[in-house]
Amino acid sequence: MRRMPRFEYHAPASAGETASLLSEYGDAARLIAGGTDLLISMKQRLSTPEHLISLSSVTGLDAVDYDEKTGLRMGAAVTLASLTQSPPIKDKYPALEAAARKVGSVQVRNIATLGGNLCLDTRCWYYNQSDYWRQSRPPCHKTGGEVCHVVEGSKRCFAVYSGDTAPILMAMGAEVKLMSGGGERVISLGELFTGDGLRPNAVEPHEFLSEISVPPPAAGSGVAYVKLRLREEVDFPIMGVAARVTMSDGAFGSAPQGFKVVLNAVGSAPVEVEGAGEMLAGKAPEQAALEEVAQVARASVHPQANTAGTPEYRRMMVPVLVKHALTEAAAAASS
Amino acid sequence: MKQLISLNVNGETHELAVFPWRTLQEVIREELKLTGTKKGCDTGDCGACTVLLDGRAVLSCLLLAVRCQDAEIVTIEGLAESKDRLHPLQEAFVNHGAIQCGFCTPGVILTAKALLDSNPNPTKEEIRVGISGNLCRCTGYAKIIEAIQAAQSA
Ligand SMILES: Cc1cc2nc3c(=O)[nH]c(=O)nc-3n(C[C@H](O)[C@H](O)[C@H](O)COP(=O)(O)OP(=O)(O)OC[C@H]3O[C@@H](n4cnc5c(N)ncnc54)[C@H](O)[C@@H]3O)c2cc1C
Ligand code: SF4
Ligand code: FES
Ligand code: FES
Repeated sequence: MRRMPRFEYHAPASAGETASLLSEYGDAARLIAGGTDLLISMKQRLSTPEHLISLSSVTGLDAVDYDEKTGLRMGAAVTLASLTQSPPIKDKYPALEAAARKVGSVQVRNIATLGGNLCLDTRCWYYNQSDYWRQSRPPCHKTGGEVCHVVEGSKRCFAVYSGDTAPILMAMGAEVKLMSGGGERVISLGELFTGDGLRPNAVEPHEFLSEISVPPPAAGSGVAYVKLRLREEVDFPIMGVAARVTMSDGAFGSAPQGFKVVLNAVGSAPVEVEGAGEMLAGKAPEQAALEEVAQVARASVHPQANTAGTPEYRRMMVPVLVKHALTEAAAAASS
Repeated sequence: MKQLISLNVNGETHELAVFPWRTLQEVIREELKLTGTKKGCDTGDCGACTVLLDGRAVLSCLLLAVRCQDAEIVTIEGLAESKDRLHPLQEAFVNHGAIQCGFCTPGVILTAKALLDSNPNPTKEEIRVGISGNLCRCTGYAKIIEAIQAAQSA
């Protein structure tokens, strides 16, 4: 039996009210959206905020709009289940629908939100455990200590970011809006991730993520997300790869910007493979072209022994998944 | 501080004073004494605590009770049509031997109910995917899937 720690609960009805509660309570407060991640970490005493500010009654925060010129706009509190059922997403962004469907179980997706998925805390075998389990070792960096149980002697934390919707949204060039009492700022989704295992995202304590926007799909482009996990349902990714390609006359398009390959769950943030566009642009979409990107991707990651799958296995699977993702994206573009 | 909430469970409205840190599962089991909703893992992995919230299968161990006001909640106790008439899914689970210890059963049946309500004729694969968030440690899944298939054609 795992009882929750105590806290005061706030359920603001508007974005403005949310912002003022955040500025009032600052570090003593945490946002709760679906709670499918946060409530577990509270039961495990990884997080014991004095105040919980719920996003589930904030009006309009679960809206989804599509416009042919400006693209897709999703409120941060939209559930992953509603994303998979939303007509514009099924129609224009089927790879996003598929990625959302790869998160957790039916029950989890019915409550889990997109904003919570993007702001998901990083994970590690030595961190996501009960307080009782953790007592058997000295605290690590992520629980306020000075050691890392994964990489001996390390001064930093290697906990893994494993939100499944981030890579595909990054591949599609998504932006996120952060709101606070002082106004709002819009940054690219890639900039949301710090790469720091301890504090994986750039949302300040007085801010909240309010909206995610995605440009309209470009002509000839296709995207795909491939996820590797122990069981085909429910499990977090062992690793994942999102790819975006642009096709023209059966070959890869000539503009390097038309391509993106994003690797997930092999580090503390989803990361883009540098130079993927240059390696692919103008080539025939055959194994040789894909192989080059796949090998560069493999060389760029350094998975550690802190999630399912050994580091060697995960590294070996990087080129395999990169090729799968590129092939699927190319097929989506041509169809 | 306790908050006054009203919870609609199985068609009945309950006025309750609960602490905000109480989960829906704790309130259902400990305040309303409806112990058909089980506690397995308490961390979202097993599905034993599944209830229906406005017709959707959700995990009551990962929901705060204060958040569930204004929603219609159905637990396994609310499924049978009357005291002596089981719901077709319950009937099918009994007839197909899809229950052994029974600990997973309330959750599996409610997940199956939500699945059949949104998709009355699922394929076997859709059933398998649909119930993948519910773990059963004794029956195995073959008989559970058979029972759901039987209920869908009943
Ligand atoms: C059994 C199980 C399986 C799972 N499998 C997967 C999986 O395969 N893939 C995957 O990606 N995830 C998985 N998850 C994790 C989690 O359910 C999802 O990532 C989910 O999308 C989190 O969303 P939430 O709304 O529940 O987040 P919450 O738990 O409410 O919040 C998560 C974090 O984000 C912060 N936050 C939430 N919303 C905002 C906002 N708008 N602005 C700023 N910060 C915010 C919270 O403060 C908290 O720190 C799984 C969980 C369980 C229990
Ligand atoms: S990677 Fe090291 S520091 Fe980070 S959570 Fe795991 S054990 Fe702790
Ligand atoms: S008790 Fe809720 S999922 Fe296991
Ligand atoms: S019948 Fe025992 S766990 Fe399913």
